[in-house]
This record gives sequence, structure tokens and C-alpha cells, in this order.
Amino acid sequence: MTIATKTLSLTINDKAVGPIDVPETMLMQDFLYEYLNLTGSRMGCGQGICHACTVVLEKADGSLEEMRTCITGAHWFAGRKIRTVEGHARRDANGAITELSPVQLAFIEHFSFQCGYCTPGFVTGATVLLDQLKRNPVRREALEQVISAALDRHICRCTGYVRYFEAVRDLVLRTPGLVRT
Amino acid sequence: MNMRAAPAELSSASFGIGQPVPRNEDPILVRGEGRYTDDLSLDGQLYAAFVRSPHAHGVIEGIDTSAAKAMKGVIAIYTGADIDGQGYGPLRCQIDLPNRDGTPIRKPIRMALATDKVRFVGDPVAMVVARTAVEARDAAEAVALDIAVLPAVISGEDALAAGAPQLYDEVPGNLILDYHSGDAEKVAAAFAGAAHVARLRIVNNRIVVNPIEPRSAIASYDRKAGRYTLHAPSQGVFGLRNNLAAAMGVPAGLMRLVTGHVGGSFGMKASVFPEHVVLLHAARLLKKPVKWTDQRSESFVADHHGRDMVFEAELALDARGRFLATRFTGIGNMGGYLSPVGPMMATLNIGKNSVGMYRTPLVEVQAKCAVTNTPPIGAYRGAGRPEGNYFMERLIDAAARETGIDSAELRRRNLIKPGQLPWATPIGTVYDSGDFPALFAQALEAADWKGYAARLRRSRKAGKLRGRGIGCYLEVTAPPSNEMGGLHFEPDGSVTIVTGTLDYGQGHWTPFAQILSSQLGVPFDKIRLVQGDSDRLIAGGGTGGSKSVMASGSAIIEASELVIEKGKLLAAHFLEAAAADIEFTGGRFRIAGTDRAIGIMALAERLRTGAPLPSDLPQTLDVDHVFKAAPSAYPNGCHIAEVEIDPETGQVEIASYVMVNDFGTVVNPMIVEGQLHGGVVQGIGQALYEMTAYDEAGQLMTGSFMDYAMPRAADVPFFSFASRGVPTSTNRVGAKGCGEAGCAGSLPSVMNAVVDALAPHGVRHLDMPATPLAIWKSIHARD
Ligand code: FES
Ligand code: FES
Repeated sequence: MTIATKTLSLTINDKAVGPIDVPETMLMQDFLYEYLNLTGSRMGCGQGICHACTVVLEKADGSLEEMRTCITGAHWFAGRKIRTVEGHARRDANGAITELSPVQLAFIEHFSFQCGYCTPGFVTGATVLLDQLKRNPVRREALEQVISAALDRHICRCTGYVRYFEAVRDLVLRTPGLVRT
Repeated sequence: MNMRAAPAELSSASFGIGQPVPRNEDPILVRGEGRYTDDLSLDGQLYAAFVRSPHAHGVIEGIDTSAAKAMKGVIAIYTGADIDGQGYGPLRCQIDLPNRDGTPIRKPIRMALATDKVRFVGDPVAMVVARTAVEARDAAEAVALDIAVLPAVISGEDALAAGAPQLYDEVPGNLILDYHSGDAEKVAAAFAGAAHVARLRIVNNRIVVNPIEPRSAIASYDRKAGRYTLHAPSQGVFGLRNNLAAAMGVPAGLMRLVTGHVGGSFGMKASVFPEHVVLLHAARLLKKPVKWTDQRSESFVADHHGRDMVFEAELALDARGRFLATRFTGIGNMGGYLSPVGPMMATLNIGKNSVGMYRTPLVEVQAKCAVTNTPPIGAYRGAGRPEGNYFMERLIDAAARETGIDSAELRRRNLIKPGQLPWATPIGTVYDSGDFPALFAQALEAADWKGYAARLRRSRKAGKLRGRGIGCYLEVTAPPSNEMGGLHFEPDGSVTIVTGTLDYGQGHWTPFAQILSSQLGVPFDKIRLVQGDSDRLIAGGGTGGSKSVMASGSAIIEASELVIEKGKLLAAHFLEAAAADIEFTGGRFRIAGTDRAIGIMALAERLRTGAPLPSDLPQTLDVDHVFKAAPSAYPNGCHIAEVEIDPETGQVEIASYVMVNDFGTVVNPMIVEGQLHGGVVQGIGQALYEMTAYDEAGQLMTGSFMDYAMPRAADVPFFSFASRGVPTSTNRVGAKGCGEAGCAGSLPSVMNAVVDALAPHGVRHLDMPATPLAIWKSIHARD
């Protein structure tokens, strides 16, 4: 029995990837690890529950969505555009990092994480939340609840979540246009 | 470049002890560039998958690997029979407590793969090696096990009952250890003469550790050198390397253990696991690296679990509410095999950590350790410390309710006063430092203990139950063991700290660098940390029992002093003065009373680049020092929780959470507070959510994140955090470990608050986890 493969092309972190022959049933997470050595999207449960493995899906209309790579097939992403945790920081022409993303900086400023294993998922989740708030600003009174609901999808065993929460709230409040007055 | 959050102009004083220095490791981790074990691939590596027992108890009658062997990609399959006779030792339990009659503890032998019997669901019986992970897993499913199923026993109490299924011929009655400490007669007399006795039967529930990084390992073997290498997460490579070597039957020099980033451990990843042995075996035979990474569903059944004990706890008080004696009589569930530290938690650590900050003159512990058909119990954040403390703090609240004395007042009456230090406890510890009454008063103040009535009224008006609970704690940390303090001045101008503790998320690089920087004036950004390669270590006690800063910190301080001694000789040479005239301050060696000086980094540079030195002088500033073990420290604190409960749903909300802690000298307050957040929330998880439920046959019914409720962001409160440190004299840093204290404070404060809220419904005690169902039932028990 040979494993059936299909060619896959997509855009990852603004770079065209493929066409590559990829097994039809391969999960996105395995594809990222084994074909591209992008190991930042981490396996925490493999069952779609912990959100350690998520990436940002950049949709055609410019909006962002969080996708779980552990339960989504690699081929689902054919022709689509994603951003993994490795692609959030800005880089110069040589690929050297010049500036972390606002979410990444906020997490460092607030000592948000400890072991860092869940962190790529939180970076992804918070980035998507910010994008949603940009499109749909939230009332100030509802902000805590909205952040809490967004973070609630992610499991972290080390931190107690408080500083992830504070980092996101702080960032939302100092980014113009995310909160309705 | 904006990679660090800290402003670049921070002065060097900003990196000293006590400063909230951002962690060096954070920019790496936040970019997803951490190198956890599964991120590593070695050339030509093969992949392994384990065949695990689907039954909790049974006799292995046959293992048929023929179908699996014929499958695509399969290279080899190993069963217990293949591992047997290879000279591999058993997986050892390191605890040697005697029975109360003086006979030794019974330690049944565990080999890496079960050969005769299986003893829990998840017990490994075979390993498949294939070209890909998917092929290995598919083939593992095709291995046919013929197991004659035996009745299973799940709880420690059931295991010790007459007629219980027997796990081992050599462990009659499933009893591993019958532990006793304390003066039974005096304790009995104290109880007989007591004005009041509080008694509770208290469960400390089994926990699935669940670091978010599953276990993983890559084994390889160098045929020429006859030497194994294992890449695996750990809590310190030196001790685990030695244990691995023993398990493989080779001298320590023929084993190397390498640990990169670790995604949480909480005690669990410190052990040799059976998977390590079989992977190393396969790597040797197949002449290729072999890699294995756990699946989450597998880690639920194959990792060591935590806690799982039940105690009858008793407190004797005199008429004025003074504690006369405590007695803890209970059972620790060991699981199907003894983990390296399995019997330590329900025995020694209950005794040591139930004393707390109180003047109780007599403590007795009688604990039976029993084997059952469940995964082995190992260390989990506190390893018996939070359990012992929880038992005591629950007892105090029960006594307060029964005697009508306010729960704060009852504690206050029994606190050890600063003037009474050093305080020798009945279990042999000597408290050296702390101001318990002041700390306690500060916590009550922060929690607005006096203003509670108004909050209670408000909750009641809203149809909610409200309760408040105090959780004081005083933990006896693991004594800082022998630890390496290596300081190497590198050719590139950096300074490497080599030490054997290992950071699995805490962040050691930064506080260790702060300590070094404050000792030697080495610029903070020039300091590197080497911790995860056993070939670099000459000693290493590892991380565990909240001792890393105490052990490695002390090692770094002592090593720094040796550097200064060498530096004085060298500076004397270069400055053409007598060594006795050289003083070292602010990172500079100076001829006393002059302005002739050389900085330590300049001196190191000169040694690297200058002409050879006379042979009677040290040739470098490098030091490889071993710090000798020091006594435990006694971190302590008071946590106060208030909860609101919806009586309709049984849902608990933590309305406020206040903590005041004494960790002695705090090296990096941001890291310390983060450790407390994490520890407190793990305790909240245990108290309110996490239930490890088995059916009668020993199948885990809560084997995924769907069924096993991990605390989530919406479940946790904000914390009011304060430090009130009194430096300890037991180690050079003055630090009292903080890593596990959060659990010690949150289990009792949250549960005391829950029971307080339910008290109007006649509830005296509720066991953890206080799930909505358990609470609802307790409210309606009298209906
Ligand atoms: S690993 Fe994908 S959701 Fe847990
Ligand atoms: S920081 Fe370790 S799991 Fe979140």
C-alpha cells in the first residue's frame, strides 16, 4: 500500500510554499513540523481542545481566523494564507528579526508566560482577537468578558492566565479604535 | 531592535537582586523558537510507539506481534521478553523509610516492560519501531495482547481491605509501607485530656499532571564509545543521568542526558520512565536514533499522577483553643508501581508540612502506602507539602466552627511568635525566620476581613451563598542538595554559569544572572546559562522541592567567592601589588587606598590574550565548584479566598483572592509572583475542577481535556499579591523557595471558603474537587 499524496501550495508567513507532494490525510501540524520545520505550532492535545497548535488564517477579505492545525488537514489550507507563530515578528531582508509583534511585546512586558509551550497559541489567539476588535469594537464594559472568553479556549498549565489577560487588556486599551466609547 | 521589553538604558543596578528583570528566555519562546524535545530530529531517526495494557489488572498470557511485524515500515518490536536478561536494572524507588515495626519498606520490582502481569491501564508491554510515527502507531494497534483479566482495585482504602485483589505476590495485602512518626502515647494522652477534638476524613484527590508539553524522548547510541545519549525533558540532567545509567546497567560515564526547553513538568518529568529504557535499548540494537512523543490521551494514562491520599485528621485543643496535638491517620495510593519518590508524600511530607506556623507541640502520622491498579503516583507541585498543609488548615476551620472561635482568631492564638524563633517543631525541623503574626495581620487587612459582613449581605441579597477561607502555610522545602556552581569566562567575553538545576518554565537564567551580576559585577547581558547537558556537570541536585534558587544561587555565590580569590592573586600580579592589598568591590579589583584597579571583565580578557603567566598563579578565573547541601527553608504565607456560590447551579466563583508570602530574599519579584499565580491556579484546579475518575474495572473515565477539567482563563480571579520576606539563614541567598507555595495556600483557602459558604446548609466538610454537582448535592443532602 502506498500512501496517496496530492500536491499542496499555500502561503505561509508571506512566502509561497509548494507545490509539494503531501499525503492526503496529513494533518497541518505534522506538515508544518516535518516538511517545513516550523515547530512553533505545538502539539498539546491533538484533539482540538487546548489550542496550543493554532495558526492565523488570513482570509481573502483581510480578516483573521484562528485555526487548529492538529485537527485540520494540510490540504484544507491549499491556496490559503496562514501565519504561524514564527511569522509574527517583523524581519529584515536577511530574515533577521527587527521587531516583535505588539502581542508578543505585550506578553513579554507582562511576564505573561512561563514554559512558553502554550504561548504560540496565545499569540495567535490574541492577534485574532485584536483583529476582530478592529472590525467590531467592543464596549468598554464588555471588554473583560470578551478577552476572557477568547483566552478561555487556550489551556495553559503554568501561568494562571492572569498576565496573559492583563497583557491583552493593556494592548487593547492602548490600541486606538478597539474599544467603543 | 526591540526584542526586549525593558528599556535599553536600564542601569546595571536594575539587574541586581530584587529587581523585576525581564526574562532572557522570553524573546525566544514568544517567537515559537523554543527547542522542546519533540522539535529535535536526529539524522536517520526511527519512530517508536508503545503498546499499552487496555486492562487495569491481568496476567499476560501472550503477546502476538506477527501481524504488526509484517506491517509497512515496521523495523522492530520489543516486548518484556526482549528487554529481560539484557542487564537492565529495575526502575528504582528511592525512598527507604522503614515500617513502624522496624522492618524495611517493600519495593516490588518494576522492569521497563511488563512480562508477567499488567497493573494499570496504560502499563507498557511492548514498543514498536517504524520508519514513521504513523506507521509505528498503526502497528502498535495491531499487536495482539492476550491478557487474562483479574479484578482491579482502584482506591488505597479498597486495596488494603481484606479480600482485595492482590497486585504482587511479594506485597501481601498490597501494603508497601506502614509508616509511623511521633510519640503515640503522648499524643493519645493529649487527645484524652483535650477540651475539644476536631476530626475530619479528608481526601486529597488524584491529579493528572498535564504539562502542556507531552513527554518525548530521542535515544541514540554511539557504538564506538559504547555510550548512550538520551534527549528528554527533565528537571535536572545530572541525577536523572545517573538513574538512567543505573537502569541501563552501565556506568554513569556511558550515559549522556540532554534537555532543551521543557514545557512544564511540576515534578513529573524528573523520573526515569520505562519508555526511556526501551528507547535506549532499541537505539543500541538498531544502530539508529529512536524517537517517541507521547499523545495526550497516552499521557493521561502513562504519566505519573499526583496526590491521591485520604486521611483521618484530628486536632486536639484546650479550652482556650490552643493546639495540643494533631494526628493524621491515612492511606497513600501508590498506583501500580512505586515511582522514584512514591512513598514520600503521604508519610514524611505530611508530617513535616502539617505543622505549619503553629505551636502544636505533638504531631503523629500513621500512614499506609498501598499499591492499586492505577498509574504510579509521583511528585506533583509540592509532593505531599500542600496535602499536609491542607489537612491541617481544614482541621483548624472545623475546630473554629465547632468551638465558635473565629477562624482567624483561632489561628492567631496558635501562631509562633518572632521572639520564639528559632522554633524546634515536634517533627525535627527548626524554623529560623519569619514573622507569622505580622504576615497574618497583613493578609487579614488586605482581605478586609473586618468588612466581610457587608459583602456577605450583598451576596445574600443577590441570592448567592458567600464564604471566606484562610489558608496559611509553612512549607518545608527540599533541602538544597549538592549543586554545581560553574563559572566560566568564555573566549567571546561572556560568562557561563554551569549548574544542575533545570528550568522547566520558571526562568532560571535571569535570576541566576542577577545573582552573579550582584556578586561579581559581570554585566547582565554577558551571562549565559548551561543547565541541560550532563556532560557539562560535575554535580547537580536538579530542580524540585522549590530549591533551585536556594541551591544554584548558593552555588553561584560560593563560586563567585572563589573567582574573587583567584582574581585577587591575578590582579596583584598585574597591578604589581601584594594580593593581601587587593580588595574587590563593584566588579573591580583595586589596590586598597589607591585608584589603581582592574575590572573583572578586563582581567578575564587579559588572561585570554596576554602572555603566559607564572605557573604558581591561577591561569584562568574559571571555577567549577560544588556547593554542599544545606538545610531546608521555610517559606510561609497566608492566602485568603472569598467565594460566591450559586445555590441553583452549584457553581463557585472566586470573588477575591489575597496572598501575603514570605519567601525571604526575593531575587526577581516578577518571576516569584508568576510562580504564585501558577501554583495558586493549579490548586484552584485541584480544589474545584480536576477529577480523575475511574470505573470499577480501572478505566480512566476522564482521559482527555474534554472530560478532565483543567482550570481555564475564565475560572481564575485576579490576585492581590504581597511579599513580606524575612531572609532565611539556612542558605546563602536568604531565599525560601516559592515554586510550590501557591498550591499550599490555595487548596485550603478555597476549600475553607467553599465549606464556609455551605455551612448554613449544614455542610461540615466537602472533598475536592468541589464541582457544581458535588456542591449542589451537598446543599440538597438534607432535602
Ligand atoms: S494541540 Fe491542537 S488543540 Fe490541542
Ligand atoms: S506557559 Fe507553560 S503551558 Fe502556558
